[in-house]
Amino acid sequence: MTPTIVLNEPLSQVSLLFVSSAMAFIAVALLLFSFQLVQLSKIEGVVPVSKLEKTGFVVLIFGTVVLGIGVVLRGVAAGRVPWANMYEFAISTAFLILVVYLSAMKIKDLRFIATFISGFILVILFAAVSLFYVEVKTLMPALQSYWLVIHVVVAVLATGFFTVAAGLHIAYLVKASNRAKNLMDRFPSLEVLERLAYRFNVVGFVQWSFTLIAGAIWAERAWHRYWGWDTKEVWTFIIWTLYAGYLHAMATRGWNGKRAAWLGLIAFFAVIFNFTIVNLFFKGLHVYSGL
Amino acid sequence: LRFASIDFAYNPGGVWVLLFSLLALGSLTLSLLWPRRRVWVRVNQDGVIEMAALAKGDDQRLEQATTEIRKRLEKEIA
Repeated sequence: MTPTIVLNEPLSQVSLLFVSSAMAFIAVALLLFSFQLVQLSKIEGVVPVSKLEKTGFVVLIFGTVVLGIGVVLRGVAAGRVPWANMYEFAISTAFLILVVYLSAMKIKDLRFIATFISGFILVILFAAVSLFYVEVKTLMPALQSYWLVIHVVVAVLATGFFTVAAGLHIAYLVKASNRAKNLMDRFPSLEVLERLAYRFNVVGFVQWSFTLIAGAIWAERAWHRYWGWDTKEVWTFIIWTLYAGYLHAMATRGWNGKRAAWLGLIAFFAVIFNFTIVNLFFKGLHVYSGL
Repeated sequence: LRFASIDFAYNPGGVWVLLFSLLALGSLTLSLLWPRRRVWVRVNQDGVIEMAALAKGDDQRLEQATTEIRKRLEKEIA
């Protein structure tokens, strides 16, 4: 007997309400972080502990919790995991990026890229709500598998790590270009920025490799071949190659520093490209946007 | 019911794919996270102990690791 899945569109609307309010919280956090950056660039000498930043993080954590509730409710409304189309994938990714970022802060001091992270999350959520929103639907047969959980969760986690690394790359490149000197003096040294970005990219890369392998195994399950040069498969592989290039650059004398940072950023752009342009405009088996 | 579609599949390679993909992933992780460093220790004729260390790529913990070995040596000698 196959269990019947009850779709609950009203509940999905409630979920949308939570996601939208999370956007409002994250927007407030973004404003607070931006004001704090302006403040930092004006003050000379020793900087007092910033109230703006503290409030910003309280608001950001609150926004993350609200977004989490929205994601869970969407899953309940659809009667399955909440990442089967582009809208759901976007809100789940946004939530996990925030979780990765906020948990990583327990180990390393990453407060200085809060503006980038909250801004990026806001863009994702805005695109999700205004462009990608679809009503809850049942899964197409190829997606009805436990691999949907394994493959996608790790892919999203990898994206979270890559996002934090991209923020560090941007900080590195701005600092290395000697612009906004007053502000950049408050940031960690170039070496620390480079090292942190490397760490995050390494973890992301291992997860991305797993995603690629798990995807191939799932493809064998669903379509009876491990690799079929489907557009999404090719792009996942391109991203893997770009990050592998970045890791090699970091290991090569004369190629670390600015060049490696640019490579890391290019690879991150490929991740975004894979999620947006490839999903929406390329034809292939991985047409899950639901649009 | 007039038509039936039956699909048989047998894939003896599955276990091997799993095994070797896990092996590849494990090796990749180790190669990225395992620090590679070499430490030399030599005793000169006048009894002075010299140490040197070299890391593959940059290695933040190189100095700390060398210090740990030095401390262990000092304990052994004392």
